[in-house]
Amino acid sequence: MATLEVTLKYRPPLARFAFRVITVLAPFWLGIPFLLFILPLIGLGGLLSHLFGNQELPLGSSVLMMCGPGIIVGLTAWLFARDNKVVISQQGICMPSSLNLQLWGRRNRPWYDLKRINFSTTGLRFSQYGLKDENILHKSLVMEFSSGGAVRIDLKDLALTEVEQLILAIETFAPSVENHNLLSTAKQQLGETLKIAGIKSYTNLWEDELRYRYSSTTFIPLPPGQKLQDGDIKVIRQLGFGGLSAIYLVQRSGKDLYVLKESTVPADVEDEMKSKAIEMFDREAKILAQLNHPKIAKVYDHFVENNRHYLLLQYIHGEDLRQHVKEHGAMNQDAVIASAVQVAEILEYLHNGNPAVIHRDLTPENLVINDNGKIVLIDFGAANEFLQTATGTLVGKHAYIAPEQFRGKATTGSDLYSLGGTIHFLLTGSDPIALSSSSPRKVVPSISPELDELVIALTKASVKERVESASEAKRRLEALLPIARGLT
Amino acid sequence: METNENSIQSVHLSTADSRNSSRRSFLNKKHDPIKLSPSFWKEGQSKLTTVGYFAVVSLLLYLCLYVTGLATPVVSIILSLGVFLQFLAFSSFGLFFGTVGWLVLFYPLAIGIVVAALYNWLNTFTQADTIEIHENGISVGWGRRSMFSVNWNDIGSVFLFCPHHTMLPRKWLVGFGTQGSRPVTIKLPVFGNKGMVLLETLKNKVPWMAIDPALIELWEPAIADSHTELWLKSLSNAPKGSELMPLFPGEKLRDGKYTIINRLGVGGQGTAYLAAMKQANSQTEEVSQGYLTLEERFLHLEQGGDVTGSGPAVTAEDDINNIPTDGVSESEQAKEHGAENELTSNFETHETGNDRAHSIADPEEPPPVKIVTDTNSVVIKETIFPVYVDPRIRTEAEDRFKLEVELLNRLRHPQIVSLNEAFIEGPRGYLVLEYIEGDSLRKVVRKDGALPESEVLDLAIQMADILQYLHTLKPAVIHRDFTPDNLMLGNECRVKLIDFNVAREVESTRTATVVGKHAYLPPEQFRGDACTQSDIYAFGATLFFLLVGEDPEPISQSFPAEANSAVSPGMNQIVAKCTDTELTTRYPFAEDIGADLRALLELKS
Repeated sequence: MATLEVTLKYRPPLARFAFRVITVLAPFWLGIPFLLFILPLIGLGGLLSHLFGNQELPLGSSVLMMCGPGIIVGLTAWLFARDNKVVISQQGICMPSSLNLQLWGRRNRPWYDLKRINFSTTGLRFSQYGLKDENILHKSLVMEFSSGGAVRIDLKDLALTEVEQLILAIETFAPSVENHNLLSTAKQQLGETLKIAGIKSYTNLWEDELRYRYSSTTFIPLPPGQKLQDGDIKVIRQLGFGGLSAIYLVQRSGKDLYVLKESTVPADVEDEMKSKAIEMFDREAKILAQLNHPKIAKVYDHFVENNRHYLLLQYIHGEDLRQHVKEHGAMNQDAVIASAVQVAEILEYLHNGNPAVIHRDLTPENLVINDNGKIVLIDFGAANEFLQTATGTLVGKHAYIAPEQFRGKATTGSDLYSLGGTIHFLLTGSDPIALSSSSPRKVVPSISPELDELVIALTKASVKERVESASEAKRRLEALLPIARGLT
Repeated sequence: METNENSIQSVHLSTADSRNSSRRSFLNKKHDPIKLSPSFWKEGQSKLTTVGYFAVVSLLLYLCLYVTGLATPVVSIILSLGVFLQFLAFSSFGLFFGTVGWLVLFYPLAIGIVVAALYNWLNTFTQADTIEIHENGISVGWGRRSMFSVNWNDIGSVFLFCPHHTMLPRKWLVGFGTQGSRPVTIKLPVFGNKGMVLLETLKNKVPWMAIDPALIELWEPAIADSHTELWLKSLSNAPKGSELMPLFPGEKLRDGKYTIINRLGVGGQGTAYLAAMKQANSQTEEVSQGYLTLEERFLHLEQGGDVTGSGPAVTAEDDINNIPTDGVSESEQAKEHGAENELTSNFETHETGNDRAHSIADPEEPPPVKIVTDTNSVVIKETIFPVYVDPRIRTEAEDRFKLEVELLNRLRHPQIVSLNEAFIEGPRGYLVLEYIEGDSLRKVVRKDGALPESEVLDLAIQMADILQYLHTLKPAVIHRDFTPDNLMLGNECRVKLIDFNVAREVESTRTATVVGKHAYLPPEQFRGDACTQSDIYAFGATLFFLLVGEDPEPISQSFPAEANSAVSPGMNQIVAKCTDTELTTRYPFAEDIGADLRALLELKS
């Protein structure tokens, strides 16, 4: 199930104590009474006669009577104390049962109910609040709720990564909580501790990703829920925005999900330039709509609304290569070659089409690993090209753009340059150098010289010196596959 | 009907529809799952608590009975009942009932617990936990019993329902909206990983059905090991800030200090607006400042006219497009839109406001901006920081903005636009800049064609001086966007530099690596290593543009004489040296260019 549900193992101190005690005493409150069931059974014979005789209760039954509640109470207490899970989801947080009392019986709390948080020194009755120089891990997190109730969670009883997740969750899902600023301090301290412990900090990955996807814009991005095209298209989420463009996840006609790319042309652009750009974009969109390949995201539509230009694309669910490398590090050589072969195939299809289509935006983040583990090309450079023509400003991943494309004269060879740049990224984990030939071997010496040569050949500044065609690139890549090399 | 996860794919012919439908309607009423949830359950309330409530209630009840003296007869009844239950001790539930019997006998508290617990569990049981898809619809049931079926025709939608009392995703329900009766809900874990299969089937069988996108996202296979993806997805439900709206004319900023007059356009630094700054002792009233108040605007809307900005959060730029401004040139605008626009030095009176309201009736015409230029006019540039996300990211965007402001503040030159003030309001950052009259060089060239060399020479010397000023500041300031679009030609042929990209490093983001006008970018800036010489390159490219009337070729040395034979060899040489792609052979300092240009001027005169 693809939803956020984080479970933290936490048992409040009192519960921990209680749990131990009850478990140890189990023979007494559970065992003995249980044994005593036998007595009533024995005594039942006597009961039956008593039923129709006097009203005295059989001995066993009275003992049982006293033990019964004991069992019930004991069992209940044990169950309460046993619960050691704190579950976080995007709706709210679910505390362990033992904290029920402090939460007035409601241990499931939505995030908007969180009123204030604070960090206090553990154990003291008149606690010291705030985070000064002491390490966050020696403190407890206090959460107060608007609808009543407050809990305290001792952070030293949580694993480091769990503390990180908890803080991230509060920061993300409860941004209007009081003392929000304490959270950044907490994260910083935590980050340092994690580094010392040698554990990968999750926060940085998360924040890097956010920073990458969402940046300042000159226009107001469409909010979730916004409808376009007479209600046919509805914005579900913003996948990213920045500068003059935005990408959204949308739903069409209440059914399937699509990706919508939006480009806003600055209003101060002259009409002539703009209409030229629009015409070009339109033409290109029509060509792209004709493409039909399982490994290329389909272009469904192109429209203009409220002076913004939109491109409707197929939604491919998967992890893009940039994200993959960010989270797992540079890929090993063989995996890279295997992926590159797939990409070269895709380029072959594009370049051999009629008319030939130049992608213009072949970057690691436009290559997604789909559910079958295959590489799919999402997105096209058409929107970037449009903005570029309309505004004269370069829009696109500069490190992957070929010099001639930069000059405005893109050819099929430009895609090959981008392919080379992409391979470089996959091998080294860092972007290639813009406008120059990149050698991955310089960064990662363990790469084979043949592969290095190929990458250099692909990223040559002059088109003439570059690898000729996608087919040629594919052939050369296949030759480098382990099988071809005689290895298994 | 036997149902388990495997059989979701099987097509099972249902029995006669008529029987099912009558059974269904009967069962629907009785087993309405959603309705069974008692409304007094507050959010987050756990079941144990409810049980507790029941227990307390029953205890109180018992106490009442005791106090009123009715206890004895009631207890006797319970006693007999208890004894009877004890008798049942022989049955299979014997031992359990034995205990229960005695509890019932003496512990009202226990009564409460047991009754409540049963009620609770009963409720859980009525939640369907099996589903079968067959030819005519779906069947829903629990355990081995089917509760009811719903025909395809009656299903209108499928959605995800998150009950209020729990925060755990595994307790979510999938609901089918049915026509005419209440929705049918099934526990989410029932579907396992067959969710997508169901959706596919539904799309085929029920083409008109609306599918909750949350379900699609929920059921698409999770990307292995990618926690980031899940976190990012969950952002969509994060509480949002207030709806972002574009600034409307008449709106006030900074506690009324600035009032928006009109939107001028969108540039690299954000949307630009013309605004009026209220002086400390200003006597001018809102209405007399020649722009629409909000009331007038709405009134006008009712009259069916076209006004800047329409609809929530999606900016309407239609009208703005008819105003081809480039940052600050209102006089241009005035010229283009007819005689009714005049440049005056005082604020118009009240009538102006009204006139304007009426004359907007024609939607083709943009709002006739009664251009009132006055020493109180300013240009406000707005940047929108990313909302909905991690506050730290937004703080970073704000910090970057503040850095830009700091840098801009240091600049004091008559030929560089001055920054009056900067502030942040909500998720928007504002720069209040000096209002400059005139056209950008690009506009001038577009209109009148390439400029004669003598004029270019004069402008070039000015530009070189500006650059020299910037580069000799300590620390040096690199403009990074020294292009004809950012150079305004004001009165008396004085050039003014606007639109700084100073703090804008090569920002690499998902949607945009907006680096700048690529025809004016030298290779090193492109690579992220901008230096003062990068501005010199842009300067050379600008000269080329002025001389030839067209943008130079990107990342290459430009020789204007090749395109325009009227260009003198001296000028040609200077431009070429400026646009040298190699840093070593390019002009190192703007000073040197200034000297060369002056020498050229000498020669000419």
